[in-house]
Amino acid sequence: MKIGLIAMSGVRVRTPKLAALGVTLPQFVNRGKVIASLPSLGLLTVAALTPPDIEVVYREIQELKTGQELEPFDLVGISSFSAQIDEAYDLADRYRAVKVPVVLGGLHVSLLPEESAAHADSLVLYGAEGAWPRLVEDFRRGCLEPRYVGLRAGVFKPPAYAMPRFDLLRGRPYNRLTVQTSRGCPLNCEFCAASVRLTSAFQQKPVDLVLAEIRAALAVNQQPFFELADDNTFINKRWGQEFLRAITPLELSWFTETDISVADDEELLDLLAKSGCRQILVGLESPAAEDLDHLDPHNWKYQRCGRYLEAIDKIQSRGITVNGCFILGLDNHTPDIFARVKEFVEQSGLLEVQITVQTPFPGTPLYSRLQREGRLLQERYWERCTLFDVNFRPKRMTVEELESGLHWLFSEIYTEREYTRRRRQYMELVKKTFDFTV
Amino acid sequence: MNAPPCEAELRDTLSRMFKLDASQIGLDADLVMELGLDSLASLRLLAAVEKQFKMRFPDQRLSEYRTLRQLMECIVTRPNQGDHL
Repeated sequence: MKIGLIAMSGVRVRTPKLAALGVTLPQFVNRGKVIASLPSLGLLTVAALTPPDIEVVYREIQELKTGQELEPFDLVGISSFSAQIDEAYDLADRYRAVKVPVVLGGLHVSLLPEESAAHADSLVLYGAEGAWPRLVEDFRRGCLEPRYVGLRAGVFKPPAYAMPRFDLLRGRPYNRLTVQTSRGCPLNCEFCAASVRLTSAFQQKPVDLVLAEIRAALAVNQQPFFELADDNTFINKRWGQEFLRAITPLELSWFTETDISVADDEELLDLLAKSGCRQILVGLESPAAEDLDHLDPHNWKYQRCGRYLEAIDKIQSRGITVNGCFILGLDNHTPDIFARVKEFVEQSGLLEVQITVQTPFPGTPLYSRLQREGRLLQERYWERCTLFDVNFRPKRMTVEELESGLHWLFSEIYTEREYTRRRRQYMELVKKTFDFTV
Repeated sequence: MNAPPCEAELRDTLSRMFKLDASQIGLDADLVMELGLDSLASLRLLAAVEKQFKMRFPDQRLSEYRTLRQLMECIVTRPNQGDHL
């Protein structure tokens, strides 16, 4: 038996003006390319949960050109985010038309199973752990069920846990590999459409399992740049210190996403620097506290905002760069937000900046609220869930003001000249603060 | 031809900061493509070199310094100079 696991990747901006800007702004394009070139850790985990007597083939959607003959499989599994879900449905329909059963999974499918069911023989909802092994056994017996509900907790404990099949990436041109150390995030921001929607509580992987995964990935690619596929890696500072001490001897170069509280712990910051952490991505969301009121249930970001500048300085002075993320179109944003973000970026010394537009992904609390308030521009807009296309009516500005402000900010922030200025600012900071002699 | 005096110091810096076997680094080896230094580490290296040799790389050309030879040439020809913001 041969199972084909197909990863969807490569989001395209839909608004023509933004798409045109995107191809001309070097720093905008760079991060997009990086994200698009990461392998699907979810499907490598599905592969690991497949009994060893079954052949598993991993494919990226770009490898399966439309119009060409479909690669023959006995069963196909497709995982997709919202923006590519229609392409995933098209591919699923093509396989089903030639009588190859299709299983759909991933975040979008888990949150909108009724929609996805029309394009699949079976769905895997939430984590593949606890679902995929049962599905494969049922498929072998010829009694595939329409839905398999995976675990939302205990995913990193035996017998549910399986180490992702990094060996399937052998010979592929990935220079970045992903490893997951946790699922979910207790902050639970209203807009978040990450793994927090798949878990019932924050899930932390034990350090020894993470280390084993890193070693398995290193067996495939001896010098990769690692990206931790987490929503918020350093929620648990004690775990964080243990993890950093464990990976330091491996001399890795790596990147992760976490919240700004990482700057509270001096020891953790020192360990981060020693461990080869090159960059952390932090969701700052907006430069002023009043913009962030009620963004998360505990108003955590609202309370933290006043210390953003100090925290960025503390992190970057260790030589760890910060990629500061801003979301435009929050309810408290007025048309002056674009200039305020630009000013904050200049003042902060952030080396890298990620500007996105608030996006009501289906299944998020933000989606429910905006739908309730009648502010969604279309009923179905999944292909526009790119983080750069506007899909809702902002509260304190027009759609046109949000779009044109976004265009303006992109053309101010993502130029080579501006990136050069930020690189120089970062270099001057580390020259002052970083001890190069150790 | 004798190696410029900064070569040994540069090799030492590379070795210390990035755990590379600096004696094995070819003068024209690409630090990013061949030796695996990522772009963020390269930036830190440039900052370290500027501090160590009291010089400044031209801002517009930061991404061009990718080999030991290029670094040395800049150190030799541009001491205490550089573009300013």
